[in-house]
Amino acid sequence: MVSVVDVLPSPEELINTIPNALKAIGDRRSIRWYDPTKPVERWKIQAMLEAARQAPTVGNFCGVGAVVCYRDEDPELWEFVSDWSQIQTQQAPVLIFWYYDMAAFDTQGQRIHDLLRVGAADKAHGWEYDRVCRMFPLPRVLPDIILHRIAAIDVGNATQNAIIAAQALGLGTCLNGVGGAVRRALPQKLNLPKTAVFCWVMTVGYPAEDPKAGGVRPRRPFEEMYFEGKFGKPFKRDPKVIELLRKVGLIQDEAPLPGRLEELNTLTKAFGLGDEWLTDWKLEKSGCIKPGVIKDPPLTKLSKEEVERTVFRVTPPVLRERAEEYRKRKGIKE
Amino acid sequence: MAKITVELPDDIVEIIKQRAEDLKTTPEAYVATNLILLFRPCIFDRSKWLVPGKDNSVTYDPYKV
Repeated sequence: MVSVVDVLPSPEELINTIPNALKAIGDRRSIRWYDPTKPVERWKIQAMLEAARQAPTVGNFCGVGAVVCYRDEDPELWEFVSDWSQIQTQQAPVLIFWYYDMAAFDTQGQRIHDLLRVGAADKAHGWEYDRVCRMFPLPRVLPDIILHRIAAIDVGNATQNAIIAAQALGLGTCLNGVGGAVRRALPQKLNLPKTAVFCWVMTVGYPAEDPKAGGVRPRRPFEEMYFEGKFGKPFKRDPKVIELLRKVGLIQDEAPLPGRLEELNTLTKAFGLGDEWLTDWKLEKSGCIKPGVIKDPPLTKLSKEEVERTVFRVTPPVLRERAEEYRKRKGIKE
Repeated sequence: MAKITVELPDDIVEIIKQRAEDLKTTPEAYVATNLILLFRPCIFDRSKWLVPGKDNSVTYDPYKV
């Protein structure tokens, strides 16, 4: 099976087919069902990485990195990654491992120097060279925990740029965490330096589900999240703006769209998963959206084995046998 | 191995105890794990840093590359 197809479109073709930024942001969903047989073009992956490189980064830190892995080239990798979203990591043809490298703080001074050199930062804004030399690299003035936080924010910026680029190019993405044991084993597997901190594994592929993926995710109410002047004074939404943004595609219909449950279960069956994997919960609004509607049952504590499995040990993949059956039936090679 | 005594405010200790209980570990192990995770990647190589002169100033012409 070929994992990489590289036929570049013409610039005009690309410009005429990709959505604008607002539409791409509106279209974006976390895609959890991928078409495992449809390879991702390498140029699209490169475009995602180029977009990530352009992302805002604090003081030209540039510490965010990624390792791109192709499922077909390393079949062990995706079953090693996660026992939580295995179906997803197994289906996605490409996994991108995002990390930040604390060593980049060491050379940050050089890159600040570059910012001054090219005129991105100027003296009028306080970017005086001797002042900069005293402040940068940031480990000079900030404790390590703050440096971690800054770097992690950069990972967020970079991944978001990559996600929007992927969305514009018709790809589906989803960010996944990995369990503690895998997290510890990953640096060796990917040959990451000791100074790197792994953050997210991003699944990339063409969606097997509808790209709308059941509609826009239910977020906290707008007025509860955004304020004007001070916390507690909600930023009031203008219905005209909502209408405008709806027309350009930033605001879309909220989930669940009709037929979502059926779609999920059709996919579950189509990928050869048994009846016990069918989704049977009722897609009703939670108490978070409208307090008092549904009372969630109290959480049950995880058993010791469950905790150990997720936190302390690399577990054998849950769905491996199932995936192998599927591969055999479809004639897909290992 | 180094041994460190840390004094933490009670409310933080409560949180640590709860997290340790959730993860079926001891509060000490929980604190140690977090410290290791935090400090392990922090290997700063100061030889790579830009160093200003003794009077903390650097002659620099932004238009000269």
